[in-house]
Amino acid sequence: MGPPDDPRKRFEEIYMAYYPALMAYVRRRVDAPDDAADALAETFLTAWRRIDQMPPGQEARLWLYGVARKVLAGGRRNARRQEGLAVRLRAELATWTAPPPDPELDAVRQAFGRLKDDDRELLSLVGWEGLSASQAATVLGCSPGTARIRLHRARKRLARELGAGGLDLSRYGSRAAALGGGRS
Amino acid sequence: MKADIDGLVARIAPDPGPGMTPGGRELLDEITAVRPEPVAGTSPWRRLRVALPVTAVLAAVVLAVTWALPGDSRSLGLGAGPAAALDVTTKGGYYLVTVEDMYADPARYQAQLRHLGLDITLELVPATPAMWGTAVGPGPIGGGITTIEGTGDCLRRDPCTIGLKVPRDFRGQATIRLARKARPGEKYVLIAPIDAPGEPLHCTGYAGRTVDEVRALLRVRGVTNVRFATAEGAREQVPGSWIAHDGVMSAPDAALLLVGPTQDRPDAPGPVSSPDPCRPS
Repeated sequence: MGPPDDPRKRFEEIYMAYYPALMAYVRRRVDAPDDAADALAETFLTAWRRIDQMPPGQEARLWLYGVARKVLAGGRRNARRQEGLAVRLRAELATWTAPPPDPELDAVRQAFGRLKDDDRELLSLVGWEGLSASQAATVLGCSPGTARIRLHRARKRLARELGAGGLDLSRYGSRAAALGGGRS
Repeated sequence: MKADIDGLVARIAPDPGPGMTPGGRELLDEITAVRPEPVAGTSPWRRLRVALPVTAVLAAVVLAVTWALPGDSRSLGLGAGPAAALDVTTKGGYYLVTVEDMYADPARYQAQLRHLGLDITLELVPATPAMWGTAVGPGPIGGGITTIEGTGDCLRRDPCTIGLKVPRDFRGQATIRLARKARPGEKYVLIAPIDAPGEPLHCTGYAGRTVDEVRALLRVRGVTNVRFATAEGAREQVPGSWIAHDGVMSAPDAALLLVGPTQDRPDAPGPVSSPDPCRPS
């Protein structure tokens, strides 16, 4: 039923393996350092409480993304702020200096920003977290087929946004250009 | 057709943050300070809060210490060695950068990385055993840099970071700090509580015992160089009847204890360790 090992040991292994990935997931979707730290704390706290439900191996990462996604959607993270959890982490994130974004890609960012949340999340899971469509489906709680169709449409919509923004899509690859041109 | 769009999205991926940090490790201890509960019911937080004063403030590692390390906390120097400091190979679209000479002059790491067109600052810092083989500060960094795990001087169950996997077209900037063994006479830059796993007083329950008793505990573990931090500042000697409240190893053979004349913890700024990191398995 439950994990064969000591739950703390198991949690620790999962935590050490996937903390950076979850940190990245949260940081990429949350601007304020405090919010990011709180969301990360809430995600792993939830995972710890539900360790019996945590799948083994690589699946755990997808499961954790799913937890983080719900945490971000629910805004529950704010409740932790007063509780004193992750104090050091908050300080670290507050002083963390990210490299400046490449200004050449501003137009791409803007086009991406004009997409609907669902499209952005699906494209991000693939492009940022490096997931396949079926892995993204696990995170989103839909069927792989549905994820594939939605992903195809999201790519198409982004290509159109890029084209609508007056971007020379050939700069980004001929196939992007072809996709942006196919409006039907 | 999908590859281009996905690649474009990948290129606008925001910065992934610092990866595993001391704060991240501390959070692990905070969260697991309370046994997991069934999902139903109230939040475990109320119980966790009770546990926090013990574990929250410093359960893992500190980068810099205030009450600790009287005098200079810098390392004694990272002398230059001969051969290449880093071993770099290419695989697919990546550079695989492993550390060949853990003790090289940092400038040599930088020179090699710059030569590859990478604006990456790599620091190998002397660390307490509990930290060996960990990457502190960034884990995966912007642009898809990840760490390479492998066999190395890692004491704990952590993956042992021995190098970096860097996309060959990485154009960002990154600073990465890897914890390594200290050389004799070298002070730690990364330290851990003196009772952390791998440290001399692990599971000894030393806190609250007299200086004489703690000295004896250290002596049998081969540590004879003991210094003291007190509310009045650093001291070389204190009465043997004083009480030890906290401690770190400041170098492989040197302990630093926070001590005071009574069971009340002295008011000295600095890290606060969990008194006893031993947990039932």
